[in-house]
Amino acid sequence: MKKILFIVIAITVITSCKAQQTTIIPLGSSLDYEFNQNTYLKDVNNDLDKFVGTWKFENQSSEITFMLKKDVQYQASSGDEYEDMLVGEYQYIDAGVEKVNTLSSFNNPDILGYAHNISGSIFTHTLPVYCIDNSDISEIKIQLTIDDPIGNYVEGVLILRYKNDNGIEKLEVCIYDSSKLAATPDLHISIPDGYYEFVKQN
Amino acid sequence: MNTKTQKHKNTRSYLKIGVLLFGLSTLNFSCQKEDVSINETSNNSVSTNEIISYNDFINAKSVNKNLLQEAIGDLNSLKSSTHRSLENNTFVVDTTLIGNVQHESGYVSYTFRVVSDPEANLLQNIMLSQYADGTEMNYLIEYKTDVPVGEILNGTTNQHLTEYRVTKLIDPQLSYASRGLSGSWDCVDVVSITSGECSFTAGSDKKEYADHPGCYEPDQMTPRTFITITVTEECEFVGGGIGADTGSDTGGFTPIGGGPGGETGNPAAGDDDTPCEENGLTTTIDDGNGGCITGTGVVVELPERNNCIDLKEFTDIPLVKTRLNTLKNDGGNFEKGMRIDKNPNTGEYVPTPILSNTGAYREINLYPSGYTEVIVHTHPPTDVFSMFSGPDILEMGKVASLIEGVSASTVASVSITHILVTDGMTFALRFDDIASVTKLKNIYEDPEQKKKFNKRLLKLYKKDKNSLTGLGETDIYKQQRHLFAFLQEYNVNLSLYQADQSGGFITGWRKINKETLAKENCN
Repeated sequence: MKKILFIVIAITVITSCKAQQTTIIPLGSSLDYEFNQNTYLKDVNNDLDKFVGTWKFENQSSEITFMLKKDVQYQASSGDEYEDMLVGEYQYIDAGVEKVNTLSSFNNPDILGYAHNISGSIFTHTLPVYCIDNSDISEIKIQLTIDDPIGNYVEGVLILRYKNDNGIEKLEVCIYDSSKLAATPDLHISIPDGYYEFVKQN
Repeated sequence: MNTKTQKHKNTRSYLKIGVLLFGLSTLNFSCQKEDVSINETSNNSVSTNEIISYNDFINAKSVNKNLLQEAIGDLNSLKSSTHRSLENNTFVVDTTLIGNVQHESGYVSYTFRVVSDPEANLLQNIMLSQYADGTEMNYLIEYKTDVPVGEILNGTTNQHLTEYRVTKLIDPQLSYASRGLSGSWDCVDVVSITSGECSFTAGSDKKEYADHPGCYEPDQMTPRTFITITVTEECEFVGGGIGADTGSDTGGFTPIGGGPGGETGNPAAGDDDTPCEENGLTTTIDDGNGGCITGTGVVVELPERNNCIDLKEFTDIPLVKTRLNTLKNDGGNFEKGMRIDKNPNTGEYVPTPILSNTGAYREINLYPSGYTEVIVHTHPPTDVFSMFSGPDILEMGKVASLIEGVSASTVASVSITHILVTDGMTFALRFDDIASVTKLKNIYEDPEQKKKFNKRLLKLYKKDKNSLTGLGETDIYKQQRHLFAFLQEYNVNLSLYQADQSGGFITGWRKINKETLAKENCN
């Protein structure tokens, strides 16, 4: 009797373990997967880690600060796939005037994943021709979305390339507006389209 | 104590018997109209049974529209609208498609679908009819369904009508209360299809509805067609609610659709019992038991839309044709586009000039409105991916949202079209059903869902590049496969079409098969 009970329990445990099995898909992989809770798009090689930190761009007229971190095993909503992603907030100052500042949301525990003003985990190798691209095609660049709080659907694309310039960690960033769904055609992200070089802050 | 127990037992027995008797009487009541026979002959007197456009309806000479005009307001104004309100906005009818039945005798009916909550299990028709003697009468025909009516109209399921009732609309200014909605329901179990692509005959060999004893499931039928339902009924049954004859008319069953209920006279007035006879207005047949059977109705559903023909209609507009050619030849690095709006007053398609962003912005905001039916944009040759992006698709959700925000848009949201000019080719996305419009609109309206949607599709497109080396090639066909798989995951039914071109101009459209990617004729 005990034997039977043991077998039943063992089968139940094995079956339930199998049911909850998660398939790990490396971020950027060409493997097929389904958009459900059994999928985990994982940063298996920790490629996102080098983008984490506070980064600053400065020139004579403007200043941009990015604060980036890695959200691990984020799930947008119940039943969705899990994924590792880069999230963050930013500040943009133009001619001494602060145009955008969302940095206070960076450590807000209620703001996760896509709710951040910067988010994403797209691995990319080729950049649009209008982006300056100093990288080798084999280098992994990260494509993110940046939201501008001035309005719904006012958003842009960030493509980040990490480089270590003689010990100085830098980000080459291509930013371009993609507010095609914004309420009016005159709504665009505050940061002008272009190429920016950020330096990591200690 | 014993007496108490005995009493309790007795009470339980009585209760059981009571429940049994109640059940039997309910069953008997439900089935008491089941002894009617299927009338396969009622279409004998139907000379025309078709779906017509609103213009056909307006231009029909055979009908005196005075009463119809009273019922649905200014007929001419309806030309500019796909949906119009009836009776002080109590009813909204779809005026894009109208069921038209004409009998050889001169009887004519026009049936409009009442626009209703797609989640409700109720399909309503308003039928405007004119009899041979010039008498006019309007009817509200209601069908209970065992699936949300939206699914039936979307063609995602088979038709499941369970019960119907008919109410005469005597006064065109009726309030809801006076419409006689207390009219009894009857089973739609005795029906035959006399027109359209459908074919089913219900009967005792069909599955019985648990919730509707005595009602049987019809056979499967082709969705999105119009159907004529012939319902047979005994003359003894006086139904149809208020507005049914006040006399002793044994044929007073209010017609289901196009039939005048076995009467030759004014159906609103009481009359003497009339022997069943072929009266010339509709088929009325003696059932052999002193009753008569009759009734013909039309359920207007959305017919199978032919998206290729619709697309050709847009792209045959001379201005659109030339502008699409211009967009195709545009070699710039920035997106350009245009819209085709529908004039809210005339319903005519109005193409905008070619739109481009001012300044240095690469992606175009086409700035659609609640009157936009078609959006067109280019993907410059420098774009990484040729196919529709997540934001491109969600723009259709945006348009749906805008249409919903307009009280009486001239655009049916299921007609929203996104045309993409890319790599020298022209593609179009169109919705297959209303449910998908709602799904996409909901994604668009939820910022986090929207981001997830965009990112998921982009990830799929990027899968064709090796994650380490960046090598590997994507192409438009791989992207199409990803697009179809992606939409399937979201259960959003959008179909992709590609234009045929000659001399740089679009000559027609073909649908891309979601499995094989083959271009299939759909004209």
